[in-house]
Amino acid sequence: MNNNHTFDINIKKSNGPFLLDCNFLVDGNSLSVFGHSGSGKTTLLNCIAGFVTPNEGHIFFTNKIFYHSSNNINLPSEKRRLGYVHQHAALFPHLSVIKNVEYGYSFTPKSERHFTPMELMSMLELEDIALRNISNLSGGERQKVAIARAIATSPNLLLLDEPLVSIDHKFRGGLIKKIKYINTELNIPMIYVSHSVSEVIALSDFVVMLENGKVVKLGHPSLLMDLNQSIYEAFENIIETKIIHQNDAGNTLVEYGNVKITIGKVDYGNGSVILSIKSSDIIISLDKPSLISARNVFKARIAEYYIKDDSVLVKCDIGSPLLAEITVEAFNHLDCKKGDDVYLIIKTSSIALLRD
Amino acid sequence: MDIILITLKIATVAILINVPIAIWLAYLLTKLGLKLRFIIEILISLPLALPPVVTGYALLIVLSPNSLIGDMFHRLVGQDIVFTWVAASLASAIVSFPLTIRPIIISFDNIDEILIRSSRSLGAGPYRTFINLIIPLSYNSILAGGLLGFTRALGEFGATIMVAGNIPGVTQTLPLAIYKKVQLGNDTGAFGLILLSLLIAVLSIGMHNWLITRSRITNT
Repeated sequence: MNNNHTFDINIKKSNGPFLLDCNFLVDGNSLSVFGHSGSGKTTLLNCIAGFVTPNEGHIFFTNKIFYHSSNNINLPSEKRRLGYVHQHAALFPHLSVIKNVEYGYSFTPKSERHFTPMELMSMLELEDIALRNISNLSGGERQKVAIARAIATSPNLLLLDEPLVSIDHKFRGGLIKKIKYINTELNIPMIYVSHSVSEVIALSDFVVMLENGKVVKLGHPSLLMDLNQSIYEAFENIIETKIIHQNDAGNTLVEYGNVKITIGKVDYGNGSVILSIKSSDIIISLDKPSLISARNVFKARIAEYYIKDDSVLVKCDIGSPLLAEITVEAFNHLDCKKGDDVYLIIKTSSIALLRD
Repeated sequence: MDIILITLKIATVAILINVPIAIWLAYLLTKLGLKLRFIIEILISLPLALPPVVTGYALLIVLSPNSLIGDMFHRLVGQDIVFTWVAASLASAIVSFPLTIRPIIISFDNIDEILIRSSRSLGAGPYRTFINLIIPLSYNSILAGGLLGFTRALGEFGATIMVAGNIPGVTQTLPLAIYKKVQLGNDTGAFGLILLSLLIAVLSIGMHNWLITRSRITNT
């Protein structure tokens, strides 16, 4: 599998008064479809998966034709070789965890199989619950099983329909790590549907934004920063960090970009942890504070800023991006601009661990 | 003893005919448009609403030696189909069909479309999805439908007497035997058979209800 894929989609699909009129051509490995409820993102995903037939147009993925109305091509779902992960997992209730994972594997031609169900069970840390009935699983476990089940078919493309939506906020870390791993290490391209800017930025390298069935933005996920505040939740930085050291006081030092961040005790994981830092919890200072209770003070450079109604989202570069959100008044008071050096201040208690 | 064996044989064959047809037709219904489905559902339910005697009379015409089917049967087997246990089984099958198919239709309708889509996306075409997902998820409902139909077939009277008569040792089932005994004034004999019927009915309905409850639990 290669790392560069082409998503070439131009379709129209009407459903009552609603019309999905979607046209884009994107090269990448990880595409997000972003929009709020009713924008048409799930309809688009259903058309790509073959669950819904568009009225006209085409759906090409790299060198595969899934749908082409002019040539009367409409591959059925089972021939598209896509992994589909529904927001509520949609596991088969009559099968155990392992039987769910083996379901699609058994229909995959031997020559196309790249992973065994047991390898995937191990990768997603599901071995201990292999024989469990799926009614006894947590939300996170269900999604891991759904992902393992989809990957077991060695799909050409993974479709994820808001897979984190039914999972407790603080338990999303493991899944985010696994999805990134599947995308970048197993080289399985994906389309990730979400209404969370934070997730889109954390997980994809290209975004298509839909509004009322039409593409209104297309490009790097950071362009979502320009959106009006009302369209999305408070932004959180979802970042993968590397554990460097744990001290006796119960604090842990992790590395992200060029900086080392002090966080609370980490009693799990194997070298990396996913953190969530709300942009509004990051303080910006022009001077380096000398005596301050916050454990994390880093030098950063302002890479970009986005003015909204009453706040400014400041994209800071610390070797990797980190977004801080301050009021327009505070931003004007600091009188900073693109390229300026600033200090970012974050309390350890403002950093949440997204557990596995 | 003959009565019980004949009754069980006729009801079992009726249900063996019914269940596969009910599964196929119930699946077909999930694929049909609302209007066509509405019409077919009326036709399916007709034997439930019609007096069984009417169903029996219609069957008598269809199976009579002068009809195409009756003639074909005669050529193949060398005897008429009417007034045989085969005719009794067919009559029981038709009358019990609405009860057999109903739980299966409900079960197929209740299977979440998302599960079917997931199965398709995992490489299972419509046939494999039917065998590996729809049938296992509806297993209890199919059993329940079969059992309800079987119970109805055990008690079938009107259509059976029209098309198969009441021939002891050949087509005389439990209800026909009760009818005969009451006609002859043998109340004691009739009472024993009534008690047996009651026992079979209670057991069957109890089992049916248990299976339906299990089916609801499995599908949630």
